[in-house]
Amino acid sequence: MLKKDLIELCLLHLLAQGDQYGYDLLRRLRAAFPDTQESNLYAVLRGLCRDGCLEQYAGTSSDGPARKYYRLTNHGTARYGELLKQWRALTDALAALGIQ
Amino acid sequence: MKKDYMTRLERWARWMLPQQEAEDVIADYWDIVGTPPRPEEELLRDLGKPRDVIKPLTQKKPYYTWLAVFAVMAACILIPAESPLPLGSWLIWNSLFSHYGFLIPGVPLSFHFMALGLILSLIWFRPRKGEPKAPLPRSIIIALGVELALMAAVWWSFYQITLYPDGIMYQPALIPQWFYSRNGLATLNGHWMSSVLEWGGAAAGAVGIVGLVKARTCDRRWRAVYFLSLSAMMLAFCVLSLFTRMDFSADPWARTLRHSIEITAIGLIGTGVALC
Repeated sequence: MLKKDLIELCLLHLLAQGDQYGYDLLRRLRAAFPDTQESNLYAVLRGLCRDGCLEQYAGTSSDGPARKYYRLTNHGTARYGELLKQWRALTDALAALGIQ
Repeated sequence: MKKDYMTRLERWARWMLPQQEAEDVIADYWDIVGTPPRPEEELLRDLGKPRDVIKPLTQKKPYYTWLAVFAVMAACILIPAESPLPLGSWLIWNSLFSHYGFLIPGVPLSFHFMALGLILSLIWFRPRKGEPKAPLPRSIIIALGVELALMAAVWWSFYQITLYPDGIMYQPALIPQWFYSRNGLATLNGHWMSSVLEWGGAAAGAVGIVGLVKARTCDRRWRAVYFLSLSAMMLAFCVLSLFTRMDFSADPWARTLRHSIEITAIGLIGTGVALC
């Protein structure tokens, strides 16, 4: 499982909990991956949109212009399940080696 | 003056990404950069250089398609532009206005370049659905004015040549002169005139390339500058061809006049369409 897949998993996981404002998503991910540039995190987010895993919509904002929100699509939910399965298999394999 | 971060990012996005994708990414980055507003040094550290920000978003197929189309459009202007210069290809130069034609008999090569440049630029930079109508930028008007002035100057040169068809004299001069006095008669300085047409045409070609880049990165109506530059260059070279012609099978003056009128008409009509 590559780091890109891990970032994808985290993004999909955050969105599985509810729709999110794009910048908030990036900020939360940056906290989890401090050594990764925001632009690379954003590239993963755009890639998921392009693949049809996420969709954008303009949400309302009490102050300032309308914000762009992201939500999970059916395809995104399937991808989330697939990545989660891979992640669990990986942690099981590591645990079998004694790595906790 | 150093361009600010978002200006550079916008240019790279519009150069490397398809139009709609570029606009979405730019809107997202205004959001990212602006909340909270960050100084340039911080942006470079957190996001990286604008080109590096856009590069991972680039999809190979649409980007390489654009580069291929750009290369063909640029070749339409660069190949003729360099043909009369010392580095140029004499094969191309000799075919540019040859009445024998090149691909289609009777149609000079110059018209092939113009047709390809016009068709590709009109198709590639066509208006999109729901595109907002903005006023024409002043820089486009200035660039078109420069090209029209060049075309007017070429027509003036052609008129001068027709006044002195037997009086062109080739004599290098330290101080640029249009006319010489020879045996008490005014004669045209062919050396100076051909240099001006040669370099004027090449300069129009350079402006055309700027127009092409700006049509992608700023406003698609810059395609009009590209096409008028292509036309101005061809017009300059058409008149220049009178100085290098070795073919006396037909009246060169009449043929040059016909080609010049055709190039001017195609250039002006094409530019009008490109501005829409």
